[in-house]
Amino acid sequence: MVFIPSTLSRVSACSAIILLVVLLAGCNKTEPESNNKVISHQQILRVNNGLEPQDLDPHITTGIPEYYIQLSLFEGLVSKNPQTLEPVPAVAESWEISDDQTHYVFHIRKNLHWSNGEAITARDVVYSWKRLLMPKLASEYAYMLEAVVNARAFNKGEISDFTSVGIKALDDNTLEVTLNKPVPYFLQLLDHQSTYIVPQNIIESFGKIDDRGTAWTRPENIVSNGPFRLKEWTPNKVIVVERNPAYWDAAAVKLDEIHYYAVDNKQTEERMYRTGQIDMTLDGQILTDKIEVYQQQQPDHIHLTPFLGTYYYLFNTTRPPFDNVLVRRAFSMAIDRDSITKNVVKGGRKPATAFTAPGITGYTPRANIHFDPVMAKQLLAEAGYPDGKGFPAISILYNTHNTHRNVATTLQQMWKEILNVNVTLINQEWKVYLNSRETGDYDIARAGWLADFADPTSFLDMFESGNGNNHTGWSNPEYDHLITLANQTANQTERFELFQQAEQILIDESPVAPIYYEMSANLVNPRVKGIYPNALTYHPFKSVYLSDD
Amino acid sequence: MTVDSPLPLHQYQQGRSLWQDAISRLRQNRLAVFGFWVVTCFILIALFADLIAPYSYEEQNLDLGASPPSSAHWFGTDTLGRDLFTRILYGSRVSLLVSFLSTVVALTIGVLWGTVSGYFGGRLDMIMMRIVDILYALPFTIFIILLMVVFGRNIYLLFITIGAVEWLTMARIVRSQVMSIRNQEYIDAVISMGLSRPRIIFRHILPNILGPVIVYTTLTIPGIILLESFLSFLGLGVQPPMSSWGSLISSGVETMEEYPWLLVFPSLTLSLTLFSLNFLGDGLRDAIDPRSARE
Amino acid sequence: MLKFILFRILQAIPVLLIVITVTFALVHAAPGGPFDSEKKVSPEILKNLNERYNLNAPVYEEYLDYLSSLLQGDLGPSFKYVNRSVTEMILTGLPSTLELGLYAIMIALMIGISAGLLAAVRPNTWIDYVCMSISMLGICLPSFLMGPLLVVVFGIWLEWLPVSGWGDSRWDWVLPSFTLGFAYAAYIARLTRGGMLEILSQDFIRTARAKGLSEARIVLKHALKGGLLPVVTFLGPAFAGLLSGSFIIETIFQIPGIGRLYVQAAFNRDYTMIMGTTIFFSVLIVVFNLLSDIIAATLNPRISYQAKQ
Repeated sequence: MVFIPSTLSRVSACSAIILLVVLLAGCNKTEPESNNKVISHQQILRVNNGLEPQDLDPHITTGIPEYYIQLSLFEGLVSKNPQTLEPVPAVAESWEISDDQTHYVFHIRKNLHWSNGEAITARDVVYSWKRLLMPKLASEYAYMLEAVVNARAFNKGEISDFTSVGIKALDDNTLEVTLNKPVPYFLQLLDHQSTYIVPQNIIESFGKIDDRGTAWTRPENIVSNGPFRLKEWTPNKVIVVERNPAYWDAAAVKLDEIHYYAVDNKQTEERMYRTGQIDMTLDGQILTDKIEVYQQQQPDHIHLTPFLGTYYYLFNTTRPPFDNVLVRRAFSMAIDRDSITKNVVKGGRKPATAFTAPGITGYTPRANIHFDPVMAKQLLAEAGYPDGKGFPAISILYNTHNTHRNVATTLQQMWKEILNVNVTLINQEWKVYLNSRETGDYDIARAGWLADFADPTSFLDMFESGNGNNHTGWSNPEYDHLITLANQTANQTERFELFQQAEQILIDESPVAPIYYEMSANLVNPRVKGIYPNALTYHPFKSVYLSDD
Repeated sequence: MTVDSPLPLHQYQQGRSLWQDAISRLRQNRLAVFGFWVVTCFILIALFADLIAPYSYEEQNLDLGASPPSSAHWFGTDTLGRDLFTRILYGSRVSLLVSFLSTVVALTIGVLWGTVSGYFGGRLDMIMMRIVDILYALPFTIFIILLMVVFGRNIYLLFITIGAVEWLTMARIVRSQVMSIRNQEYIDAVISMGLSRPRIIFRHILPNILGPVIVYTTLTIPGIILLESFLSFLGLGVQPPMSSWGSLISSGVETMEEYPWLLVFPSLTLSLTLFSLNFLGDGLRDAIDPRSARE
Repeated sequence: MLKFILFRILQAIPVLLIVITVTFALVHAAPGGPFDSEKKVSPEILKNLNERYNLNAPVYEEYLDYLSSLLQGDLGPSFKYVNRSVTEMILTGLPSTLELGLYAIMIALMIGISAGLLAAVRPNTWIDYVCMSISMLGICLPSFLMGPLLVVVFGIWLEWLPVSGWGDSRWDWVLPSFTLGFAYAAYIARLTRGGMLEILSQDFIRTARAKGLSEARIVLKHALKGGLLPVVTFLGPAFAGLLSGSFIIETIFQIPGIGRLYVQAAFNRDYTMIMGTTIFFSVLIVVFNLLSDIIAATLNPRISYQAKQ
């Protein structure tokens, strides 16, 4: 039987009770342990990391949010100076490189300890790299070590004896690495999360060397060697790391704790920042419209940094009309990149005139493609479509996102006005889009590329014939030859010259139309000191601190 | 009201005059009349959008960018410098068409399903209702992504998809109403009179559940208009640069503090339409139900 | 009664089995795999990954493997959250979602039934119009609009309430619960009004009035029971929907619930997570629909259990 009060007033009394219960239930929750005064005293940095990490295992994950946490928890042989991006000693206190740049000897720091107090030796490095290369671990970044003698064969399972791989511990403090060919950026790779060192004892007490997703990365189990150690991990909410007293340079670490929030909604992120719930954002993707507001009202709260990434469109060169280089160039030259960066994507982003983004010391592409409506029309006419007549129906493929939609509608309009061709838009959900792009089911598609390290190869490798990331279907033997040659050359000047020639071919043939260079836009409270803008958006928290000055 | 027949059965024996009665009752309901005219107005706007619109819905003015309402652009412009007034006008096409057609789909399936299930009961009811449970439970996003792969992207798929989602709750509501009427004495009476089943269902049961059905229908329309913007996210439905109310609102929310007009005008338009639809729905419901209390 | 409930629970078995089978098929047929990303995974690595997650086997074998581990209560490892199992993720997300859903439904019932009753008692008066208009707001302002709106007003302008979070401060439950509750309050108000009007026009109410009973007594004692029938029918699926559909609220307010898991699993093509959350929600739907049928039958003696068999 349902309880039915006999008067209206009893109904309202009942409602009041429900309300009271609701209020009380809410009251039982714990009070926030943080308020601003305590924070400045305790040095707790609260950042939004954007996403829930897939895992914290540096050999498994590939994402940026995971990387930022791993950067606090782990350390590789070298690390980078955040101001200059030059390699600086970390696990290795010094190293020697042979003249032909294929032989490295690293001297591992003495008195180095894991966060549980156990000693770290050169053998830990060998173990870690062996784990990275284990075929069954299926690490997506195993190729970071592919220049090492026999590493590739071991990773493919062609050889099973790790002693034949060019990674050897000569004694507790000496590590020898032998490469197949000179790799001028090899030291940079040793600061990539995939080459971080991991604790053998802990990993093997929760599974085999090549088991994915074991419990070793849980807060109660994990052991690490970085400036911080894991304290708490609440999925989809927050990860807390605290100062690691066993770290070799613990004296330099100023923060007591870092709270990494997993806020994926950009509006929420900005509101949390505005109301002081977080001190900074990390993924560099605050909303375009917010950038303008902050630039006008609180310019000291916003960090805009160009970084190594290019936003571009790719043409499907395997089928008409984009199998014709004239058509591709016409479309690329009909893009008013200045207008797009100024009015659509904003936030100080720069128009892209080549594929490799600026920011690599010693390499600025000579190749250049730019807005030229007259030339664009002429090229399209030469290709057999004067004033767009007879041009087939084509479409732009993009994954659903505001920026991509705005860029696509703008390009649609530009191509209509300048070339007089009709383009339709197709938006797809991310994974469907990836699938369409990979199977070549598109005419024109948007894409973005972020470099893993500061070297032209990180941009230009992908257009080699048969590279899995080249979805344009374009292939050019001369280009392939130049890239191969460049990757075997030790002399940096000669090497860069070869890349220059390759990039010229890429731009002349235009399988892709670069549109703008990426910009990282973060909100950073002026209280947070020691964050330096750099082209890799490399932000270690080791020397960051909070101060009201 | 004068109609005061004790047995519902009698009402429908003099059906024609009752419908006329209903219309005259509807005319007396000022809110419903207001709702009727607003809805008609929007339908006309949707039909003649290209004649009324001062600009083209895709025409960009990048240098202008997002500008507040002015004499040139009554509702302001969006971040790409497109006239918001024009985009709302065109948006009414998609939004109204989607809500109308999807509702028809949902109503047809939901009412038929619910009636059959509720009237016949027993094993048939059990199977039909478990099918509804299953459809409730399937992961909607994946389902739509797959539908698009199989059928391609077309606007009909959009109506069918939305209708196919919305009919489930309708079926449950109709079923429980039908079951409650099915067991009333007058139905036993008409059954004993030897009327055919379709006749009983269409003449004696369906008219009596029209009220809740109309109310629920007007309730689903807002959901449908907004569902459309989610389906656009998955790539089904309208593609840019074409606009719809749902997509205008969802992008307006993102810049609500910077460019409030981009949110205010589409939301007001949507709210006005929905309010009108509901007034009309309530009026209809009250009008066709002569028993409704109007003291 | 007991027989009826047992019979319905038995029916849940084929329902769940069909849901599992269809979902399994849908998930595997959908384009895009769990390991697709902007940077392509090399074929050898992909092969190893597929092997690790049992994706190289023929689909029917994979399906049978899944069923057999499901029977042992194992929902498998998440593909996306590498070091966590699906069961664990669901269990961590469940408390927040349940709590949010409970607050929201209480708020919805409170606002909805009061507004609906008032409107039904004085139909076509200003009270009716005001109640219905306010409840209409909940429908016209979808939660993705209502949420940010409340946040901007109460969180940013007035600074009364936190803009996001769950369980971090005393008042952070208020905005999300109201946002979610409003939408349902509107439905409940309208269904209550409709149901009550229907009942109030029936003969037994006339009789009661003729007997000279007070209006309040008539409404609350005689009419409410039947008048709430449409609400009860609506509540079953609504509560299940509330739990799975709290995705938008969970995203806006950063609540670590299962609504987000459910939706993101689909976008990530996290096969096991999609399966796990779908099974979880199917159970919820079956249970809540059963509950709402039982309550509906209790409220309306005209719906007999016999009629269903």
